[in-house]
Amino acid sequence: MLGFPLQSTSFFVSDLLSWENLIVLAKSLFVLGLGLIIAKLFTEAIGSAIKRRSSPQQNMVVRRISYYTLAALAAASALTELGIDLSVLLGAAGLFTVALGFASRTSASNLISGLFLIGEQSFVVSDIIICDGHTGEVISIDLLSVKLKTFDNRYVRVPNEKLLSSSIVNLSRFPIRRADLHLRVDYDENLEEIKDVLISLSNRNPVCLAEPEPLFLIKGFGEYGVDIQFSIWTTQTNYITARNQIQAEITKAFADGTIPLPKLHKLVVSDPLENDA
Amino acid sequence: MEERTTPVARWWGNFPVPPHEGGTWEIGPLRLWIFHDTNEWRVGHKHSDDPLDGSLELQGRLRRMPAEEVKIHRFASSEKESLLYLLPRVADRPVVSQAENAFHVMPGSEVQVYLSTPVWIEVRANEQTLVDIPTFRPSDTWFGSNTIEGELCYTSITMVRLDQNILPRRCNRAITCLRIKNRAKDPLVLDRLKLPVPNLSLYVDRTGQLWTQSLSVERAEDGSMAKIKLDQGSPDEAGHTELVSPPRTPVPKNVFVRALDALMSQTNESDQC
Repeated sequence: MLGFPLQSTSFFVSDLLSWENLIVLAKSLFVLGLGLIIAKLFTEAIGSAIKRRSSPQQNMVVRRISYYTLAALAAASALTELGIDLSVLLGAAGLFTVALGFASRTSASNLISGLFLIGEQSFVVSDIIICDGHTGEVISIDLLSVKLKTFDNRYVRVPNEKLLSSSIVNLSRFPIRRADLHLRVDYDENLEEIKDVLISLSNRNPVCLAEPEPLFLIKGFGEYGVDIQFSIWTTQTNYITARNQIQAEITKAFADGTIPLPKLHKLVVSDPLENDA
Repeated sequence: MEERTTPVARWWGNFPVPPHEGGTWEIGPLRLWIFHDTNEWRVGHKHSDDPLDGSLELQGRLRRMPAEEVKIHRFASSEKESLLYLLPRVADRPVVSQAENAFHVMPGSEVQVYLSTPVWIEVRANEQTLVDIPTFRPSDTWFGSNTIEGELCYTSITMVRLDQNILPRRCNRAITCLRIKNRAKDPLVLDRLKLPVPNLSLYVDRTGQLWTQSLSVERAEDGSMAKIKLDQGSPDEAGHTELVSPPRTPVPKNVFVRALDALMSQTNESDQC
């Protein structure tokens, strides 16, 4: 049951919708709207001013802090226009903040992690990273999460807390990169000759770097032959081209016999008991 | 070996190409097709595998683009001008000359060595660049103390010749004269030398051979620093020359001091697996 008669309520609503109150409400909304427009314009101006001297992430953080601070001031001014005492509101907000803090500790953790990530600068927007099983280009670094675009055009949101507590591989950090190719040859092959063939393939390819030199490494002695790792260096931009071209050249060398194909050794033992049956 | 005085034909300059006609050029390992169609230019090119190919062939008129597998670029233009301009340019990145055999400059000595680098060709029509391509695409290389800090360059194996009279003369390569003075007490080992080619002007001598602006390197007594000087014009050994093209990236100062490592280095060991 309501604690006051219906007649009183209608008086209250009519009081609230009085002409004077509507003017106050309009003034308050005007102050809020103007404040938000000023916040937006100021944020854009400050973003442009520091664009050359800051990284995209720093620019984004400065813009967001600026916008939210000004938006909070605009909201406070609008509430003052409505005649609401902010000190009372802040007192209530203190209690509310404690409750909210418990409820949103994951978000707070992400927020703090985001600030650490931005400060650490392990990666920047447009870098290619591997994180949490996803490989993709960083399209935005926000206060709560990092957004990736994978190579098959999927959108991945990784919470900052996860990024801070797990390892990240940044594939774009350094201008050059090594591509490791693995092949197997028979035990009776001349490994020096194979090394020369592989190095000459690399030397003939203009996108394979002459320095650092390609690496020829005998990885071990496998069940079916000698396992070899052949590594070439190339630039980040030419990585896929170089890798594909060298693999294609090695395939051609296998096909024309320059590098002998390993023979498949398979021993089939028949079960005499099965034959008897 | 070709004689020092053997003339090298010039392949650059202005070429009038009326609409529905074209031309072909074979400049060393580069084969170039250019066709002037209605309101467009078509440029195709192909490289052979021989970096030492110094042959030159101007085959003249072309009635249509080749059917063989050639990468073709089309450039549409509203200009009716039919003048084509070919211009030799220096490489667009520094070239690391790697000595075929270790070369030592003894303490207190001053020597003059000659190195050659491939030139690029800029094709212009109506004062606008259509393509800027190498006559031979050298391999990429990394020049730096490690795999993190350094610069992407081209690589070129060099004989480090001391006598200009035995220099092979090729239409698609420019010769750089480098004067090296070693004031330190230990020999200077020239293993890999970074030539700042984009900072150099290109000249042609009376015989048609291309030369770059010459360079001087003076190794300081302490051995770690080097004073690098870009000399004015082509070397005296080239005789009378004329400027063909300016540097791609002009440097504000002609004399600068660099750590010796920034100019020459020992061969780096590859990182381990």
